[in-house]
This record gives sequence, structure tokens and C-alpha cells, in this order.
Amino acid sequence: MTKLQQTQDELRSSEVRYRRLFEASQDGILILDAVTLEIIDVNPFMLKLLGYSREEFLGKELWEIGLFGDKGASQTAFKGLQDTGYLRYEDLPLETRSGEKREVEFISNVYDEDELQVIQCNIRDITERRQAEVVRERLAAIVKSSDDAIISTELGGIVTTWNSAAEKMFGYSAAEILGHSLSLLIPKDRKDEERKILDVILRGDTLSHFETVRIGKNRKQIDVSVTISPIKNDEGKIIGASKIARDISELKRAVKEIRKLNTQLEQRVTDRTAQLQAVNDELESFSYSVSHDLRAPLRHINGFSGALLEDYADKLDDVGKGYLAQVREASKEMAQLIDDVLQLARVTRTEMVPETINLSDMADSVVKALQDEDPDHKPTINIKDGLSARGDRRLLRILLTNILGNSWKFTTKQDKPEITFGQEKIEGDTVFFVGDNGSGFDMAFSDKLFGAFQRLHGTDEFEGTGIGLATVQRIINRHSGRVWAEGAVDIGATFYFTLPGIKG
Amino acid sequence: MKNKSILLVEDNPRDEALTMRALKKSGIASDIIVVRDGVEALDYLFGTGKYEGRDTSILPQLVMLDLKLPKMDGLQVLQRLRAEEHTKRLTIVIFTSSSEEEDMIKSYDLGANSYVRKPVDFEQFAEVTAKLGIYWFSLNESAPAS
Repeated sequence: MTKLQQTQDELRSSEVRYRRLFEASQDGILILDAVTLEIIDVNPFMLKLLGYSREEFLGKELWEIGLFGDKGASQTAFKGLQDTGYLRYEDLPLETRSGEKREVEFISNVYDEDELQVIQCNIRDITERRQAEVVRERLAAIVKSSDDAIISTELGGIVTTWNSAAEKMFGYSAAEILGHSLSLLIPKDRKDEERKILDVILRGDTLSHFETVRIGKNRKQIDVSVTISPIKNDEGKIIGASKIARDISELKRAVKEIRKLNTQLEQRVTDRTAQLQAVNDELESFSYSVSHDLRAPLRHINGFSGALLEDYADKLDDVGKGYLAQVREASKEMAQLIDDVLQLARVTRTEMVPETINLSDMADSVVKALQDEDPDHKPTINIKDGLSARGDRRLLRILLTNILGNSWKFTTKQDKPEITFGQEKIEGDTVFFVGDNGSGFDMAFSDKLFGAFQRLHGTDEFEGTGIGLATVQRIINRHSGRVWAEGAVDIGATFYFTLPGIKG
Repeated sequence: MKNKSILLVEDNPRDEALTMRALKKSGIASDIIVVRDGVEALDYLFGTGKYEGRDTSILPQLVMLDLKLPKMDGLQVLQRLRAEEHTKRLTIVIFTSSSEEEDMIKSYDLGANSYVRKPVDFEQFAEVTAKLGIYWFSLNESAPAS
């Protein structure tokens, strides 16, 4: 073998070696003519990376193919390359044939190949690396800006990362604590807690919102809620733990404060209720004694006056008998007054049992009772069928007795007396009404209608204690309703009321 | 049959007078025994205290019992009487000023035979008292004493 031949053989084998390298490389390689900037050669990885065929590359200038977003800048850069012989881009955006963006590292060298000056461009796809970096940066930013302490440790508890919130929360800087054990933060009486947490982590489980206490650098206790998850390596082996701790001291304090306030409030309610109960009990016994003791003397006044009239009729003249009759009448009025006042009081304190009540039937029965008491008065009664409302039966009966009784009383001087009980819609509300064509009232005094002991008529005109409508008002109040009246003297009166429900 | 009598448990002499008058006027001529408070009422019926040695086999035909009484009120008296074998079927009418529903319910719950409110009006009072006397005294067949 001649020397030349040997040299030729060596050359050939070297060329084969480099050709194989060129063909098999996992970087894109382009060879350009440094003078014309035409592509002389391109390796398969480059074609695969950018999605072109070999034919589309060969003999073309780089920017003809459309790889570059900014054609002009690239052209200028390549002119520079021709002068300096070297060009490097950390991340150059290229476009594939299908228009997809690829981030590449781009290194160009100019060198001589025999007679020819060529540019070799090595292109490394760093798209995924860049994406991973972006994700990592984003995550790092989140960790950095988090208000929660985010810490990672090895399984042994040695701190490996420590974010700024952790610095703020526990008082240790990252420099102070990295490489040290996290047990620095754990109070003495909670040392066994860490063991249990580790068991959970080693099982691969996450411990969520675990509320505990940690100690800061200033030895102050901090209430924290911690979520602890295992950190696994690529093989899935658990190599550490991530801990996210939230300072809940403020929350705990707020909860405590709310509990305290609640307790105080409850105590206050209890106290007030007791006071109210005492007042109620007093009122109760007052009513009771009124009911018993106030009536007795009246009965005696009436009774002995009656006995006198009966037993000594022959010894009294008509004037004397008349006086005694007045005494009896007065005592009866007083008894009625007592009964009415007691009813007014009872209406306020009685416990209510809500039920759906047929008001039409109730009105019928009330009218019947009025008729029995006063058979001489025969007004025309119009009661609309099927009226109903929810309320307390006893109270609503007192209500209807008072309102219908009112109409009954004030129509006694009417030629064709008429009383109507009905219902209408006023501004969306269901409103009941009792209307009559009786003696009515002057609207100027309408505000006095519902006050206790207020009367718009003299007792010589119409009997009454002035308590009936005050009782009505209270019953309506207890049913969360409204009551009002319209009227005109000698024309009649209409009482309106609503019964939306029962107050607690 | 033993003498028929009425036990009037009434602390107020005026009420007593009016009641007596009304009963007499209605023609009830029997004995009317008046006691002034709850304790005296029980003493009379059980032959204790002031009535020690009284023949307790003689029970009144009717007890007219006020509710508001000194020492022991009407409801307590009623409860005691109903608890005793000897007086559990005694005719007891509550005769009171009270129109409190609670009083009425309690009276009936404790076994009152009747609940009558004393009317203020003289004529009504006389009428009610007379009717009461006549009904329980003349018409009603009381349970035999045990």
C-alpha cells in the first residue's frame, strides 16, 4: 500500500466517520457557502426539526426558505458573520414549514474547506427546555409571592427550600435555616407530631389543613394550618416533603373573639329574657288580681243596690230608685271596662298557635253571637265566602268580634243597616275589610281610633269603653299586619286589615 | 238519707250575704255551712282542727268553692278533695270572680263538676246562684259518699 493510498484510505474513513456524525446528529446542521450564503448541505435532523425536504433547502439562501421571523436582522447578522467568522444566538425563534414556532440555540462558524469558505450552522432545539424554564420561573414566582410559607424538607427534616413568606412567618431567613432541621419550629410538647406526619408522608399521602402550633425565631407561638405532601423523584421514590403553612393566629383570635361575643350576647339575651319574664310574671299576677279583686267590690255595689231595690222598694221613691239604678249601671260599666282591659292585656301576652282559619265561617259565627245578644237590631250582613288567613284562632275571633261588633253598634241608628265583610287586593297585598253604613267618623280623628280609651262618640250616643280597637291593633301587630280605617260622619266606616303571618 | 246541706267556701262576707240571699230566695231551705278559707274547708270535710269530732259521714250535697281564698286556695282544696277516697266524688262547683281561662282549665283538670263565674250584675248573680243551687241540689243525683 502506497503512502498516498494509505492517506487516501485514512481520509475516506475519516470522511465516513464525520458523515455518520453529520447524519446521526441530534442537532440540526447546515453548511452554507460563505460567499453566496447558499445552502450546500443539511442534515436529516434539521429537516425533521423544521419539516422541510432536502430539496427545499439545497441551493437556497437561508431567508428564502422562511425560517426567520425577522429576515432583515438575520441578513445583517450573517453579513457580520462573514467578517467575524462566528455567530451565536442563545435563543433564536424559527418557524417550521407548518408555521410552528421553535426556539433554537444557533451557532455559526466560518471556516475554510479546501478552496471554499463555508459556514457551518449548528442548531439545537431548546423549545421544551425553554418551556420548562418558563413553567419553573412561574412556579418560582408563585412560591416567592405566596403569603403562605412554602417549605420543602428532606425526609430527615432538613430544610431544602424556604420562601419569603416562611421568612416572614417564622422569622428565620433562608440562609439561617437551609440545611438545618425543621424541628427548630416545633414546640417541645408536639415533637411526636412530626413522627406521625412522616408516617403519612411515607405512605405517599397528603395531610391537609392540619392545624397545629409552631414556634418562630422570637419563641412566640404561631397557630398554623399546614398541608404536607410527599415529594417524589423521577422514579417515584419519596425523597422529601413539601409543607405549605398558613398563619391562622389572626383567624383563631377572631374565632375566639366571636365565641366570646356570642357568649356575652347569649348572656345578655338570657338576662333580658329573665327581666322580661319577671315583668311578664308581674303583669300576669297583676291581671289575675285585677280579674279577681277588682270585680268583687263592683259585684257588691251592684248586688247590694239590687237587694236594696228589691227588698226596700216600698220605702224608696222613684228618684231614690233611679239613683240606685245609676249606681248599678255604673258598676256594670266598670266591670265591662275591667273585662276589656284584661282582654287587651291578654291579647298581648297570650301564646299564639298559628293555623289556617276560615274567616268567613268565623265572621258568620261572630255575627250570630251579636244577633243573640241584640235580637232587635237586624242589619243586612254580606260575608264573602271562602276567606281565609293564617293566624291564632282565639285572637282572630276577638279581632272579628271587635270589628264586626263595632259595625253592629254604629249601625243601630240606621234605617237600612248593612255590614259587609270582604277582601280585596291593594297594591298586591291581600286586604280584608269590614264596611258599614253606620254613623261613621270624621277622618280628622282617624289617628285616635286605635288608641286605648279613645272614643269618638259620647257614651250617651253609643256604649263603649274605647278599648276594642286598641285590642284590634294589638292583634294585628302580633300577626305582622296593618290596620286602618276610612269613614265619613253619617255615611259609614270601613276597617281594613292585613294578616300576613305571625310574629315569633 | 242524711240532711242535705251546702258548703260555701267564701272568704268575703259580702259575697256570702249575696249568695245566701240568692239561695234562700230560690227556695233552697237546707243548711248552708260557710267556711272562710281553704284550710277550714278541709277541716270541715275531714273532721280535723276546728271541726275535730264532726261526723264526717255527713257530707254536703254541694260545695261552692271560691278560687281566691286565704291560706289555701280553691285549686289546692279541690286537688286535696279529689285525692281522698272519702271526698273524691263530692259535687264541687267553682264559684269565682275569675274569667281567666287558665283557672277554668285547671279547675276542670282537677275534677271540678262545674265552673261558674260570679256575674257583677245583681239580677244575673241571683239568677245564676239560684240555678246553680236548684240544679246541683234538686235535679242532680250525686254519687253516694264512699
